[in-house]
Amino acid sequence: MIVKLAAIFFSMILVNNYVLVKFYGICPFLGVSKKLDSSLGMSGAVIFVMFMATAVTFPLQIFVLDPADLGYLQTIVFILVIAVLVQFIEIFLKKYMVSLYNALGVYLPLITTNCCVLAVTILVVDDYGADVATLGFAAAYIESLVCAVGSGVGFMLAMCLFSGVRTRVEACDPPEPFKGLPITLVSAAITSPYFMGFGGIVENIFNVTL
Amino acid sequence: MAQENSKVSILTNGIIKENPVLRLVLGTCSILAVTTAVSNALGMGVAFTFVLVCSNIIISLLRNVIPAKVHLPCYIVVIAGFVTIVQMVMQAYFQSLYTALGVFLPLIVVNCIILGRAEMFACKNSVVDSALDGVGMGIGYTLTATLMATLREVLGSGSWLGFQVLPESLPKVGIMTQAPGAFFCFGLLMAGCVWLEGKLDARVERKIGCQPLKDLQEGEDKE
Amino acid sequence: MNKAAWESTAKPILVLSVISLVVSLLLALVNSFTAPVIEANQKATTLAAYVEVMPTVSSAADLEEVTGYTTPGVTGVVKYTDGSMAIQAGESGFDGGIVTVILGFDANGTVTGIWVDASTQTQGIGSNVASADFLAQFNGMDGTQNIAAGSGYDSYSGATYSSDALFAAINDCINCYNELA
Repeated sequence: MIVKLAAIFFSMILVNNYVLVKFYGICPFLGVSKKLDSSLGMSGAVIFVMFMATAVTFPLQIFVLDPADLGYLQTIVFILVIAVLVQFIEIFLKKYMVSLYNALGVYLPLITTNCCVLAVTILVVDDYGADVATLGFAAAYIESLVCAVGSGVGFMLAMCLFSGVRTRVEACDPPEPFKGLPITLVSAAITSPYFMGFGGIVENIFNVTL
Repeated sequence: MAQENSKVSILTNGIIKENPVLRLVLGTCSILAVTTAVSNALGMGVAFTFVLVCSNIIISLLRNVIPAKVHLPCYIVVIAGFVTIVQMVMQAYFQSLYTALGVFLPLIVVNCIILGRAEMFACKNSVVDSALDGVGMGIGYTLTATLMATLREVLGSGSWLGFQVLPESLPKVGIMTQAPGAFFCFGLLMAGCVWLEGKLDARVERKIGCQPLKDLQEGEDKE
Repeated sequence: MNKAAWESTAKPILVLSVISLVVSLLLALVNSFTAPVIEANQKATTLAAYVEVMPTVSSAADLEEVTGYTTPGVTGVVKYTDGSMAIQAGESGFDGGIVTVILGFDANGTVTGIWVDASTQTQGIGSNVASADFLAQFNGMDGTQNIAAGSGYDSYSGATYSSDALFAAINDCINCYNELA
């Protein structure tokens, strides 16, 4: 069990990296990765919301939507849950955890429309929903939460790596049409192949494969 | 006559002047992900245009009813409703396309182009104008996606819309259909667009991402 | 209720609820049209796969559905008048995704064909267990004995979880065949 959880965690970070391999959350990736501290703040907020959203939506799907045969309401229910949750977290942090609010607060409103949060809630239901029948709800729930946090950490890794890349790119002098966004995209193209090679590493460390 | 002109300009606005992908830089996630093959790009474009036009019409109809306080959740519910309809219809009648687009179909909900158009255009304009705006933006999105998919599919698989166009003997650039190729093609296309703008003397400043993100960025730039 | 409270609290809640309700009803309506089509499509795919693994069967209409099996993991069984049989089973692989296997048996218990859906597994890694080259090793094997990776049959290298699920599902089919034959 522990080995499988670790394998899920690291494969979400390295092999199935949400930003550079799966293309979820490209907007904040291009928009906020200019500086290291804003990258960290944004990804901290994303990890937090991803974890909370999965914690709510997974049981919702298993215990409410599936038994009531309302699977087709998944998209609409999940996005509403995320929107309400983000609002709620914002109010809660503002009131009770001021220091955390100061660190993450500005990024919270952006997260409702961040596709990685909706993506992770839908994907864990697809991937681990079936485990409820074979392994029991608790095990499937833990797997999906680990998967959510792993995806968030993968997002953070990509943001932080890329803020470093961007600092170097900004200091360069590319041809006129490439200035700004185009050269940023080309450097993302050079950063992303690294993640394609990680499959073997996770495989060998945990002696299991994907 | 002036009336006619303004209708046409609303329609063409989304295709060239405010091309959502290359000039407004919105909805980048799906553009990068679905352009591995021309057929996927076209399917995504049609689904996207349908959702955009329908949600624009409904939101424009309801623009005087929806209270400002809950406008965002209301828009999201309307958009998510149409996205789910597209999902169900596509799963029933276009199974292979449904599998190919995967999770990016439900992710149309959080596509900033649709929410952005609802926020910026549909809630302030008449139903007809909003519908035209949706059609224009949809065509702009579809054309750009198809262009990029053409680049990636021809180089990566040697085919176009499934038909072999490059001779078999020519080596394929497999990486073009994978993640790095997506970023690279998008960068190239955008550079091409900037170059063209330079020639035509019509440069625009590119701000990345969704509306609230823009505010944040402006704040960052001021620092 | 005074007017200010209505404008600031009740009206937004009411409008949002009404919109949500209307949208949900609309979705339920569309779902009632598309759900049967989706189900029919899935059934057609499964039937076509049954025919594919049974060389003596030419049309899905000739198949007769078998019920009353107890083997866990098995999701469907069909038989043909000449004694051949096809069994569908699923086991969860990596990420919890189900690897579905349909195994065809002739009247003597020899495996006549195998069909695998591993589209739920990691693309390009686990999904490889559905490749024709890899599956060729199972054709013509004795369908009455359980098999194990490493003893005569290979796992797909680099896809341990998905291969384990594949072998488990094949053994489910074999157990079910032994139960029914």
